[in-house]
Amino acid sequence: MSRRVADEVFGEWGGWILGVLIAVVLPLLLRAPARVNLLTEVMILGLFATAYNLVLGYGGLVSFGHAAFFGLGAYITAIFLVKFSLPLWAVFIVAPIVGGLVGAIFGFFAARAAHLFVGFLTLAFAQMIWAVFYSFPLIGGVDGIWSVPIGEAFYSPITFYYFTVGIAAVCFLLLHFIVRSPFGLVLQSIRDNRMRSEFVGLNYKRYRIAVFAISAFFSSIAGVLYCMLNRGAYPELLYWATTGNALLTTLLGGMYSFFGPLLGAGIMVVLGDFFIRKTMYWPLVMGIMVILLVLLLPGGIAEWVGKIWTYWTTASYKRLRRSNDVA
Amino acid sequence: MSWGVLLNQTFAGISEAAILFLLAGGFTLIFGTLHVLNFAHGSFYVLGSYTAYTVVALISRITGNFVIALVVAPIVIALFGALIEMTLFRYIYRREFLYQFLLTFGLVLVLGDLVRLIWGTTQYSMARPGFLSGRISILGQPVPVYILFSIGMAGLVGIVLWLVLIKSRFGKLVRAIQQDREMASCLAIHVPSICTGVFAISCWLAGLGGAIAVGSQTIMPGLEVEYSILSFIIVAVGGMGSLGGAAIGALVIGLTDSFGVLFLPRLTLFFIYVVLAVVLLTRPYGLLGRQIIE
Repeated sequence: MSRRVADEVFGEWGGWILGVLIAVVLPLLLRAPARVNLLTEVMILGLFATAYNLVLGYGGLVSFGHAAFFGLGAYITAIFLVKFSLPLWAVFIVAPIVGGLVGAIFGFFAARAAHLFVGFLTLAFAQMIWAVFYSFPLIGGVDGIWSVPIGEAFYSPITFYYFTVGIAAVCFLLLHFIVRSPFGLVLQSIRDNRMRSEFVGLNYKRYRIAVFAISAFFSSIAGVLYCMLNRGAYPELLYWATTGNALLTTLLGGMYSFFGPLLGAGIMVVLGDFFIRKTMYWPLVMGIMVILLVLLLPGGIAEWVGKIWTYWTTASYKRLRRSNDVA
Repeated sequence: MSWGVLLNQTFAGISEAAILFLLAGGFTLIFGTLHVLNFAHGSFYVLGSYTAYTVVALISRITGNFVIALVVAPIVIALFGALIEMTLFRYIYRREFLYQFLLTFGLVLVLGDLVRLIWGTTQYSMARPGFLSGRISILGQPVPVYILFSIGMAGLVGIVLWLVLIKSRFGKLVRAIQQDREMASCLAIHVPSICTGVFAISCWLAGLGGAIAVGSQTIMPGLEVEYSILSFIIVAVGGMGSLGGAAIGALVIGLTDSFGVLFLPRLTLFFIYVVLAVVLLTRPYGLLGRQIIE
């Protein structure tokens, strides 16, 4: 029950208000450009995690290969701008389409294999893509591609931040529309009871391919933005740790609500920035967080908020009942 | 391709398959009995490597220190695995698969940093003990003794494991739990302790694989996920839950890897993924696998 409430609170007005707040007001309060870049990172990670949650929370599949889509977006940006000197708008058209196609391939194998194997399968394929980009210096090799010319307009952190917010907002609107559409509802029904969905006549394989393709499409856009932020693409973006980051972000924020992952992104970027400066054992902290979340709070912070909200709104009802019982 | 190269690569492939069999055998045991995909399996393998290296380094004055390490390290890993099973895994058996996978992923992160905490990030390599180094001539080709040793160890362990599963009472209980866990517990079989035992055996196998691997490879942190992926691929190719499947899968992957080096040295993994894709498209449950009811 708290999950549905969490979804309602964070999926409807709560989420949008929060979003507008973060997007527009916060950067005006921060002075340091480094802090604004952190906010941009929150936006990008939030977009990536929300796209990831399409597969995880709404699709019910554990994908461990999303780094492939994210990294491909970044690499296509870098390769197009550095090696071929193509304009930026071309990147924004080609990268998501390529990402979506690769996502469809992943989805195809995910559809064929048993539900249990999707995690490992996507991981295996993503690692293969990582190995390709890691091994061939022509497409960057170990170091990746740097000094990507993104256009002078974007050198200012504030400008690039609002650009990111604009693109992310469009993507969030589209994703929200998809999730609330019949497609999204079918997705959730397949997640909840695959066999029953089949009895009703739904072809779960097609939906698996579709959800992977859509999720990959938006993950690639996030990758493009990330490459623009760092002006570089490197193999670590394709490594499983990047997917793990998205996974933890989604888990932390709440995988059963739409804006949960964005909330998780806000917390993760701040926490990550804090911890990376203090200790080199950030993966240890992340691992402990994952274990605690899985054992204690699988719905993430959004579920926790939902629980508090439910308690507050039913507390008066409980008091009423108690008084009736006593009488 | 000369006969010598062919023989060389075959032996290299089989010895690699030997270690991979130990790795994948544990993985498939856990999956068949506990129905859990242990993402952290590669971490136990890596821990086994490091533990074996440390044991060898600690008792370097004693002769036969490598043999002692081969005995001690897997047992340490097995006990550690049993501890983790009793504290963490017990809570997630009833939960959905999603949470199981996520928990094991958290474990991967924790164990990976544990390795870095204890042993740092330096790479270690160990010289082979005297009686296991050198080469023997087989069919006119010099074959490293260590390769034969690896193959022999894995074969011996495989046979013993198979005998235990088929002939012993413990094996019978394990097979009962594999077939129907609830029914087994209704028959007064103490399922939790047997599951802990199976998990411990699986970690023992992974630790042994890692310990044997120390003699032929450099060990460094950060490889645990690659080994977990490999064990998954082997089991997916050979058949989930089947020890024979693990053996076949290990052979296929080991030989593919060693012969792939001849054709595409930079991307040996590529051929492995091709094999995986082909098997998944034609037989989604592996070569020896049975249909899994979700």
